[in-house]
Amino acid sequence: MLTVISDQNILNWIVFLPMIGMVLCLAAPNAKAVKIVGIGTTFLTFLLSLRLFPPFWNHLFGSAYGTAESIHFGFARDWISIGKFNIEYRVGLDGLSFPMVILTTLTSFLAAIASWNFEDWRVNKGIRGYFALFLLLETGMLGTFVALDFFLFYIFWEVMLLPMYFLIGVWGGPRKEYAAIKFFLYTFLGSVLILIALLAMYFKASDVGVHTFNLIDYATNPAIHQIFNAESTQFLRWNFGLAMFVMLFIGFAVKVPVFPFHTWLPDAHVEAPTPISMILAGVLLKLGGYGLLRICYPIFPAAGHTAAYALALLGLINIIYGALCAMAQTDFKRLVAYSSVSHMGYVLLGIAIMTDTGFQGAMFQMLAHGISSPMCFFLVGVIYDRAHHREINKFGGVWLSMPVYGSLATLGFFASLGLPGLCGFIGEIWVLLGAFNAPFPWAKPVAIVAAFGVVLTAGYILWLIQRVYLGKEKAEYSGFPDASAREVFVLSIMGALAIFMGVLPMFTFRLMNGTLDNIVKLFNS
Amino acid sequence: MLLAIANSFWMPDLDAVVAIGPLWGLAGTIVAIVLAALVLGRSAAVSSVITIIGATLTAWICFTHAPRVAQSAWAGLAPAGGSPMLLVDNFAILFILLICLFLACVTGLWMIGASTNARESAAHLRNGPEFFVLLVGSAFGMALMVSTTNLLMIILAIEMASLPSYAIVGFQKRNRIAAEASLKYVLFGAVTSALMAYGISLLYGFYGTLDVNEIGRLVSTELAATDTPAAAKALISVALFGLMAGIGFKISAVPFHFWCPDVFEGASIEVTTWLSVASKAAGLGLLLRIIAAVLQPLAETFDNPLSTTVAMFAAVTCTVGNLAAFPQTSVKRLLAYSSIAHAGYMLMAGAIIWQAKPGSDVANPAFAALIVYIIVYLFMNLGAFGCTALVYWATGSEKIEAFRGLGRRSPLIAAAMTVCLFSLVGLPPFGGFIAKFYLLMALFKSNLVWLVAVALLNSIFSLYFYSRIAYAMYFADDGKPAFSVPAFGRALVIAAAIVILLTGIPIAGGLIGRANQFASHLYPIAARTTFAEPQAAAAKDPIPLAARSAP
Amino acid sequence: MNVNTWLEPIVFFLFAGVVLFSAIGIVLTRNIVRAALFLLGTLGGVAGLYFLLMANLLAAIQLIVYAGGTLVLIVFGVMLTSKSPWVRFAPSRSEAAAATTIGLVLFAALAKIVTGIDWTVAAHPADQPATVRQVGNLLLQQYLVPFEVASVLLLVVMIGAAYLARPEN
Repeated sequence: MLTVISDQNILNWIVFLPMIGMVLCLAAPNAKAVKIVGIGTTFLTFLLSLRLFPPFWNHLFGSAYGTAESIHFGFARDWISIGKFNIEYRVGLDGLSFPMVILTTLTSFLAAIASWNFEDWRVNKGIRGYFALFLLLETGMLGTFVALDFFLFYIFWEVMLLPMYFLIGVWGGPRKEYAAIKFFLYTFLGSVLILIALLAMYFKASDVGVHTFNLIDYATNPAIHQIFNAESTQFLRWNFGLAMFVMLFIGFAVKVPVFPFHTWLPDAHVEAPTPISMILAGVLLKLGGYGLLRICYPIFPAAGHTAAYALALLGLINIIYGALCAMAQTDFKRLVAYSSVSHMGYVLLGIAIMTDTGFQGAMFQMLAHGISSPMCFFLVGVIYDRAHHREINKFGGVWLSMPVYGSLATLGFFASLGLPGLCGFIGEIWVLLGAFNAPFPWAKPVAIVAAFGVVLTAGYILWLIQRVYLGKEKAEYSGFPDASAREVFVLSIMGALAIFMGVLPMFTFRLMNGTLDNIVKLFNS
Repeated sequence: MLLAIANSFWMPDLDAVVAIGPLWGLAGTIVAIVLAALVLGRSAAVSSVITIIGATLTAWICFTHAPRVAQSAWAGLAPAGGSPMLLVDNFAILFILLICLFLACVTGLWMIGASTNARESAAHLRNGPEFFVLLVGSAFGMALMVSTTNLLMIILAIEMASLPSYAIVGFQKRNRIAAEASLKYVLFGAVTSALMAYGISLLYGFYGTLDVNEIGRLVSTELAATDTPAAAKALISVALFGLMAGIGFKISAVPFHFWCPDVFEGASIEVTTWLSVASKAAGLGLLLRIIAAVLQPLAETFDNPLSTTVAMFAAVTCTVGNLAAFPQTSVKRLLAYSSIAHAGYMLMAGAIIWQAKPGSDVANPAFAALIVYIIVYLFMNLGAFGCTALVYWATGSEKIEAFRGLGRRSPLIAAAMTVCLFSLVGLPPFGGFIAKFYLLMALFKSNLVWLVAVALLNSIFSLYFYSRIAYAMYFADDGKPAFSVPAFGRALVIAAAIVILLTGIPIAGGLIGRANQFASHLYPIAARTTFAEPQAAAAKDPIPLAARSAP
Repeated sequence: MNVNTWLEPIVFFLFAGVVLFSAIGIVLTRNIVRAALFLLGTLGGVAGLYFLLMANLLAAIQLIVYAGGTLVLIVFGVMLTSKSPWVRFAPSRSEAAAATTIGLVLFAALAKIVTGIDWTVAAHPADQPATVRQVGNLLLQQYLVPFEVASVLLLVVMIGAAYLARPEN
């Protein structure tokens, strides 16, 4: 086994192991076997991904973005290659993608465990299809994070679309069809814009004689960099860099989701089954931020600089608007969904200011949200499995009947709230610090307003905890069994990580800072 | 005396007779079916087997011809000193190969239908020989369409493809809808044929030659000349429009598409499948030949005033097809509109070639993109119609409701249908995406960014109505019992789905590479105007229109 | 004096008269079968004009296709679809107006073309050899391929027509 898997091909194994699991799932004899195969595959994938730690732990980030020594576990083969036209299968890891891969494999593993009670769901048929699509989705997510060829990135990006559509649409809640098609149409619209940008970038790079879809080349080749960012380069009648940046941004903004493109998210979250909500919140939303950091900023820094104020403003809107919406919700899951919108606003703000601190904060916030948000969704799922409703105002005193669950829930929501000592705090504070020191005149006021978002977040989460977990014990909830061993297992892993990241954030920063610094260096060159 | 008479006839030499081998293959199949019916008695099984053998044999002839043709650029049947009547070059061979492949698939589908569909199988089987004569007859016509550059042959080829199609659309004589569809098809076909004959007679009247290449040269000189009166230019445009009407009818380009939904709905599903791919492929082949041979020289000589015409046709066809598909409840009808939309996408490749400037390298990718698109489209439609057929034979309905709960009732068919549908949308990782992506690349390369936007917007529209079928299959379950489908039918649609998946990821590179290689051999057809000076043209020295107007 | 110089105008005006009067008859009669009969006169007259122009083949085709085929089709169509053969036309005012407009426009266009052309006769058609022989030669030489394809087309179409016309069982 160990000789089969080498440093050269380990990423292929990680990406395509879930697909092997998918085939096994379809062939498995009964429901239990399917579940074991599904969980086993995600666990194996997680274990494999742990083998990726050493170079990042040893701080091998190279001297500049995209150099050979900064990309680890690289693998490249020609794929569609005709004459000068060349699409490669090219994968590799740097400090930007590595934490995301770990997050993905971990979240998928936990979500697979969360799917164990499949038989109790509202729609409990077709478990083979469920796990097959689940694993296909994992392949899509991992592939997107490791792809270094834009075409490959796009293919994996789209591969996620269909499984997600069916996972929401078949195994979702009462309005699943609406949510599924809405998710599909929004995301597809976004990807169409990415596709146009992909084509335009390829042909523009061809103009200087480099026929490539290689994302690293786009960012580091001086000729390409020059033509992509020059004032005089045009796309139709617009400035090329800005046009590409805007199209890519919209494409990624749908996934993040950024304010006017966010409306699919509450519907998708509310209707999706719990594990799918966990994946959606934990990984899929991160793809948007990852796309911005991987593609938009390294390749079009000039446009990023021009659009910075707009992005920061959108981030600010996300923070405040998301928090206010969350405050107004009476549906437990919808509240958590809107809290995601609010939290992802910090990511956008951190990215928009284009400084080390901002990027670090944004990345950390993504990871922190990747831990706390699935945890919150799982917490909602646990109570929904027992009460079969999600009305916040009907709950009360749940802590008394379910003490273990109540404690873990408080931990999870505090992590989401941004309590110092837990993961959410670090990300938010880093972004706010970055914004204060950012070289933009508007940055300080934005940071001040954004800081109020923290207060709003505290407001709706404390109010939520008060309404659901505190108060007098209600008769209808008194008989509920406390969290099962499986539930405690899932929650405690995420809870432990939330504490670990909050108390010792430097261990997390250590894994990615080098690459983020290299990206920021690109801006100044 | 006898020798003198023999000499006065034109006798084609053996090489030329061999050169048009693929056409002999199809014509021979027709004769074989008729003779077999006479000698062995009327048997649907015998006819269908002969059809499959004939199609395979013709495909084999195509394969053996391809390398030889590639060397000599073209081989054809040309009367002594005249321009070629038949022209079997790589282009023709590719299309004939696809037509034969599809003919065999449709015959297979017919056999599955005859074996399962109790209600219609008796009549089905009884009239098998007639059906296959007509089917192969239309295939022969389509093969002719892609292997000629002679206007007279073009008319004959289109009629040869159309007339048998009219008959097989109305083949179920007791079926009122089929009869109505057939009548609509006939009337529409007659009108467009008349328009085309009119256009062709105008062109012949102007230039005194039937050879498309020759006409292309003359048209471009005439349009380029500054002293050409506006009326003459208008007349030439009318003539070209007439020509395009005939072809537009075959590929169901808007506004010649009205027959398409009714015919697709009324005809039996094998016939619909056949028309949705073969008729369009042949029409596109012919269109590209004419665009490349006649109209592409236009771009060489001057700034073509008609330069956006094909692009407009493509954009409108695509959009109308997709928008009209929205409210459909019958899957056959929905797929009919989808096929109109796809004709629009494929026409976009024609728009590139139409606008290509000489010496630019945009035409080759356009040809390659079209080849890739047609190949993938063939399998997508085979799969989608095949699944619809299987559902129809099992449930007796082709409405979207009949697909409800298919994900549970027949998971494999549902999976195959899903692959085909989302491939039709153009989503990765299916072949439909690769085809569309390569087409978009070609469009982008020739600066037709607005067509890229149209194509992508249309993909978004189309996602909605294709996913309605997916919705019915997976999200809406009315609890009807599961059904089984014939193993052969299941194998057919799953094979189509697997091909779509393969062309999507693993062999996408190979497919595009081959298509490119091929296109580089194809494109010189436009430049290939150096035939021996045609006698007919020499006799009637063409007079420029300007000199011909009244004193 | 050549017999043609005085006979030709007479024959021409004879045929032209037949064409003209039959055409007027078509417009004026209310009986549909009679209209069809008048149409025969028009088509036959035009065929006669073709003969006069030595376009033998065209004249024959005119007689076979139009007078022989199309007209019979029309008469059959009328007899098969109407309840009695004595159906009378009753065109509405708007239909009559539309027909008149189209007719006038067509007439104006034709009149303009006819008056605009220099009708000087360049060569007498009698100098040319018989057209039927020419066409025959062309069909079996230069146009052999289309000719053969047309025969395949006819074979296939005949089979289709026979199938469609044959009663079920």
